[in-house]
Amino acid sequence: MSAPSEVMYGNWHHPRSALLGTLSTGMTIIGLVATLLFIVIAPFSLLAGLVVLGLGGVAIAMTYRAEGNRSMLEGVMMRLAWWKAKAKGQTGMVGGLLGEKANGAAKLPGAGGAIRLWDCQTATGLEFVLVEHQRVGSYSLVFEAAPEGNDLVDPHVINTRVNVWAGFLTDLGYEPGLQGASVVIETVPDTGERLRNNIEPKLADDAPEVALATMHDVMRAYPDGAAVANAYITLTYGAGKHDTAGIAAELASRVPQIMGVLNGSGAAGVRPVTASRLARVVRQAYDPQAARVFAEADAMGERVDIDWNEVGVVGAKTQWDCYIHEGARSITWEMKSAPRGVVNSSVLHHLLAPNHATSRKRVTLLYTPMSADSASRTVEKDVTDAKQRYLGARKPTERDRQSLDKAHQAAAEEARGAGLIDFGLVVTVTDQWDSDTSGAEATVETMAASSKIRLRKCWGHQDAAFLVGLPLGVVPNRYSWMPAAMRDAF
Amino acid sequence: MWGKKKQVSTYQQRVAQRKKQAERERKAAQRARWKNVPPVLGWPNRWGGAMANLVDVPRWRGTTFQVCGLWPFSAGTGAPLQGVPVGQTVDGSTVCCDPITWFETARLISNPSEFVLGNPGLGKSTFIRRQCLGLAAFGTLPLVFGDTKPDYVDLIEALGGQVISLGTGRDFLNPLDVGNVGEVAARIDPKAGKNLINEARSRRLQMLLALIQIVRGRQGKVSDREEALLAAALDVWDEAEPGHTPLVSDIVRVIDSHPDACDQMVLTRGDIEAYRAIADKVSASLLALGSRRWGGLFGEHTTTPMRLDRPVVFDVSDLDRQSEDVMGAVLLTCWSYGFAQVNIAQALQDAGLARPQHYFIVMDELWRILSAGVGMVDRINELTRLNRQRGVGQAMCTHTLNDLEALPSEEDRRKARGFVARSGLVVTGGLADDEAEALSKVLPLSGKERATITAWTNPESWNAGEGLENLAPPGQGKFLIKVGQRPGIPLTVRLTEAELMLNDTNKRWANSRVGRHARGSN
Repeated sequence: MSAPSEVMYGNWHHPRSALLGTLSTGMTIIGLVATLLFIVIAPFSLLAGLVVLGLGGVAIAMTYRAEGNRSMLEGVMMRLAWWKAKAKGQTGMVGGLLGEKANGAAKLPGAGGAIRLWDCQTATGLEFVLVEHQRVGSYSLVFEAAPEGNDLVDPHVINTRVNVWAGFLTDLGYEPGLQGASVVIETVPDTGERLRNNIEPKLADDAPEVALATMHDVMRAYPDGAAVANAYITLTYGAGKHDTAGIAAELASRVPQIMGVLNGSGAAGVRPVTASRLARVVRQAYDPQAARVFAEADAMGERVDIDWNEVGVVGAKTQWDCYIHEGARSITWEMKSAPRGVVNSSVLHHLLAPNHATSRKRVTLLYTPMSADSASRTVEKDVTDAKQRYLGARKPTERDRQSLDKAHQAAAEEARGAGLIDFGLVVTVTDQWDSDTSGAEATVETMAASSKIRLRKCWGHQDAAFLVGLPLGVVPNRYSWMPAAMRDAF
Repeated sequence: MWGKKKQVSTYQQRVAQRKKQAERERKAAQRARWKNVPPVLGWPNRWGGAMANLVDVPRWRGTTFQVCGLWPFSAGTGAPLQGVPVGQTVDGSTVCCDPITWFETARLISNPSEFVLGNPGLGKSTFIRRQCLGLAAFGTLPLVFGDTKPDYVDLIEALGGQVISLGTGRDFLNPLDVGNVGEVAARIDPKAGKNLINEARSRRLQMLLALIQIVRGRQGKVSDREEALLAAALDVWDEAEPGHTPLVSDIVRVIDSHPDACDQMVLTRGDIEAYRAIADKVSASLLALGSRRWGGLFGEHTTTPMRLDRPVVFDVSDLDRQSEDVMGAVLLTCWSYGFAQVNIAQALQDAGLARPQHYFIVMDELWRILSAGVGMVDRINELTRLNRQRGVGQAMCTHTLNDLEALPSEEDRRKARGFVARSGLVVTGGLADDEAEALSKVLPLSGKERATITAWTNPESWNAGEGLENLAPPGQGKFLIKVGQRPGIPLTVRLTEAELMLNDTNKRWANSRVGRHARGSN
């Protein structure tokens, strides 16, 4: 019944520029420069010229980037940066009262320290938070929603929801000043605490014995509460020439529109996050024990407000392969390769669903939309590049031909109104610092396999990847010293 | 430049100085503002936590029409954990559901009522029993108005409640009993008291109309003149004997005595023959209630008034051998009386004369009342009306919507479907294909939900080796909770030790398979 009407999705590729055959633009330039230098130096000293050619060859080899992996040059640079940081003692973090620069506050470590929250209101009185990233000059909006899931939902309803989501992604290309967007799905399996917190305060003292006995039996026999899945959607805008007040005024009018576009995309109850709620979410991410305290306070009906100065860590340590913060250990993976071929819309279901083997899991989809005008240019360039590869290579492979077909399909869709978007995925799993991680790691590998993606641990940048995975709107490519055009060339 | 110095006036000097000072201040303010902001990757001092690398993740590019396929919302969040825990979903997480908590605390439904459907034998009353137990633990009183099997008597007894067993040789319930309204009205403020008394009068009238309609069966609608006559007769009684509850026979006597008020209402203008023509029809219907067929159930004063401080069940299982319409009339009487008492209790609570109390009203076997006579839907609506929703949860129970479809007139059928549509939440057990189809016209059910519900009616298998009585049907204890447009929540009821001890093994899933119901009319 559902098979004929199943819609399949695919046709994403790793963006690579091509100038000469299989060489990227950057590599071609290096090759040209090396050749020129050889031509200039060779008449004087053949040996020096050959050395220059050799160096050029090594440079090309080191900048070669296989699909999804980092080039050797990047790997070397990251390792050097890591060793330098370790030597300087920067991998550990002490905040709070003992922190040198912290002034007693426990702010977010590293790049998160420059984040400020502003409480804002739309014209209709809806409160929302504006996350300011001071050093990079961008501001983020954060929305919260409850994913509806696809259990017992008819396929045509799911298709409609996915189409609405496509509309949202397309609209991102038209947002003025948008630098990036992200969707964070955080799942916490329940240990029965929530059930107990919901029932015990309501038991009446004068209730009959049988009733109280039954409820106590239930609390004992139904240990698993219900896993919670929260979705957060962030949009990050560049500040341009505005100051904070100007940006807030501008974004305040965007908030209801964005909520309207997200309505019906499978996220129910979209509402903007307030500053205290965002602080609470970030605090729970860095300190999972705090979640229990908050849950108990909620059951009592008390309101707990967290100040942004208390939201971060008092003690943390980054290691090459994991991140230890406040008594918990997190491991972050990034998506090395997207699903090959075609998939249906519930391909990420196993990755996103709550899992009892991991205590807290966060899956973040990062989107960098292209503005509508550069999208058409890029699509045409992709077609040209694919043609170059196919026609310019000596032995054209079937894969090159297929990528030419896909480039044509993408161009056709773009002409029909689609936007072009770059996406990435980050998975963070948090556990107790002294727990055995092999179970969690194996679970994540299995989940990734069933979602047809390949993951790789974020070696050397666990703390940064952890920060990127939070719903704070950190757009990682704004933090690098290389401008975007140069990065794309390799 | 090498020549004479330009002549600058002191005014210009001062302006230039001020400009320089403003510039210095601006720069100092900027430095101060950025002093405490860490550089891009964090504070670079030892133990400062600066990030070594902040690199981008590997990016993949696609058009939005394709990238939307990596849909992030395919894994849903579980049901809210508010209310009485009733069971578990497929993956073991707990489902909590009860109309009062979902209305008052969780605000998931628009009114605190639920409608429970499901084929017999699949554990509807077990579900409601669990809700009664849970709500009793929260301090709510479960009130069961009309237990035919009986399913709830054991439970209410264990909760220390009041069991009123109706039947010949046992307790009686006067259909015209609306509680001690006059007494209560005197204690509360005059306006509320007046409202209370008016409501009680209208309730009495509705009850009389309902009884007449049931007695007359298919033939009988009550005409407007007859309705006016009955209203006048009740008023005459109230004036003659204020504070006393009339019996049906008393009303017949009042009508027969041809009072002026009645005469005016029927517009017979003193003509005795015309009056008798109308009044006799009404009296005949009312007198029939005293005949042997109706077992003398409606002719006595209430022997045991219902208490409002403990759980209550009206046990009508002894009357199970009676015919359909008698049973329907008895159940309707119980409902009316029960709601009248709850109304009084709410009036007292609103006036501050009684402590606030929540009630959970269970109305089982809706179809018996509907099939007892014509136009019962309106009567039910009138008699189950309450002044305020807050503090009272209702659960109405029936087998399938086909019971409601079996009503004779299309208008009745449409109104009966309104019961389901207006309920805050609907709980379905296993239903057959056509029944699920009928339900999906009233409730937005997806194809998958319908398939799930019909799968629960799969018959049990023959198992030659084991004793057959130990086999439970596969769909037993499985329900789907449906609220409005949201996707349904499938659950399996799991009983605890305390509950299993409460029922003995024979009656564990006592619904309609075993027990006294064997000789019943279902």
